[in-house]
Amino acid sequence: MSNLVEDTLEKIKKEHITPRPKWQFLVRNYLAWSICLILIFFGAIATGLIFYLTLDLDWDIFLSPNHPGIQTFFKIAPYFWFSIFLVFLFLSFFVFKKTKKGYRYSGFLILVISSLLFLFLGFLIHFFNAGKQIHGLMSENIPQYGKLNNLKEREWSEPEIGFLGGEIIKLKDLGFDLKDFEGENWMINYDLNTVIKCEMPFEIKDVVKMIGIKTGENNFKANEIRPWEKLGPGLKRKFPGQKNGDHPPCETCQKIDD
Amino acid sequence: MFSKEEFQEKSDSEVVELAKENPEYFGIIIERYKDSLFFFVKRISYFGKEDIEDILQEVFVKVYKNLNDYEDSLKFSSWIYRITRNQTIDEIRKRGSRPQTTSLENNDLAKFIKSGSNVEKEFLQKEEMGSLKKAIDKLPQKYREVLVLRFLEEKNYEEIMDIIKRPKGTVASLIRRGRRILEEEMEGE
Repeated sequence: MSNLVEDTLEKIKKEHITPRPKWQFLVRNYLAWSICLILIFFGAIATGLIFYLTLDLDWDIFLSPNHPGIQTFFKIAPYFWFSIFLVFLFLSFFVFKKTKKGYRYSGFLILVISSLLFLFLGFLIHFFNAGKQIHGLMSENIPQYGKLNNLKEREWSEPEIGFLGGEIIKLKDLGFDLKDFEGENWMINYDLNTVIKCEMPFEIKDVVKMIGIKTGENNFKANEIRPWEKLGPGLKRKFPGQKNGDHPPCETCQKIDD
Repeated sequence: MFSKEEFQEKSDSEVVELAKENPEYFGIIIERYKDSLFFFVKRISYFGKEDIEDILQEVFVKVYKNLNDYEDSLKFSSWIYRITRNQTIDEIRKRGSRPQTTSLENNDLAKFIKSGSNVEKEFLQKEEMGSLKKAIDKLPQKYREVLVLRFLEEKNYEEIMDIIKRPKGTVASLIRRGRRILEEEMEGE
């Protein structure tokens, strides 16, 4: 085998073979890491959206007597974003394995650490409200996305079991007309026993959510009316037909100043 | 140019740096590793002498082209063994199915036996050698190569991890399972 040295050096000279420049290897490694970071970023966004969509649900209604409970969550869970989360998790795993030292770590360890990283970054995204912004943007611009991922709207589209939400389209005394999230029109009635959470006076285009009873084909009696978004302190409560000094039952409210 | 004695003192990393500037120094690397790599390829494949020399030439050319990819954080021997292993596997795949007989010699087989649980065995019967050869032939490549690296090349787990690019836990599992399969095959014989 003594010829091996001469033959190899001869081949190197003859074919003008030279070592590849270092920058090619550096670029390859940096590229792998960059792709990994991009995948982690998008995975974190998916996690942030999962946090936002899940925590934005009204979990207290799950304890209502006529609510099916946790089954509803499994029906409306953010599967879309959970799938995206899994895709980016596994992609980042494979790309990490391609980095220079990635092979040294067990698959299980990489997946656990990646998941924790996604959860932490996803929490930060949710904490800074970015999840809400992204969801809003996507809902406005991609109709198919909205159908799949407007979980809260789906949560409040169960009039048969007493949970209905939508936009006020006409005001009446002790009632209003409402367009629900499926586009159907409803006649909503309430009375002095209805619990109205503190909110601004009802106005057309207000979006509300109600717990009550379906009384007819498109009739709903509200036992509780809530604003779609939670309101801050200091907001006055007033409803149509209310006279000054009238004070219907209310769980938490502030007196109206004359 | 350095003298032979000066070269013997130089580490692989130092010779690599010299070889990047002058390919003549790369001959030192070839000289240092040609024999050990020859036996390594022979042990993990079924190729004859000429085929192995062809493979080794490909390996050394590849090593030379990728000299700038080598980093001190890795043992040079692990790095060159990795390239050799990958090139051998590529050749095995190119040529399709394996023949039935192994290229391991009797002293290699003796090392395998000594590595087993029954370490008191010192004298081997021809039949036992034959059983072991058959058992090794049947071993899937992934077990065979780690057993060769561990017991014949005498690499530690860290080195094997760097050569086959798998985590240490996986290396330990492969060795454990490979030994168990060998023992079961030999008991069956």
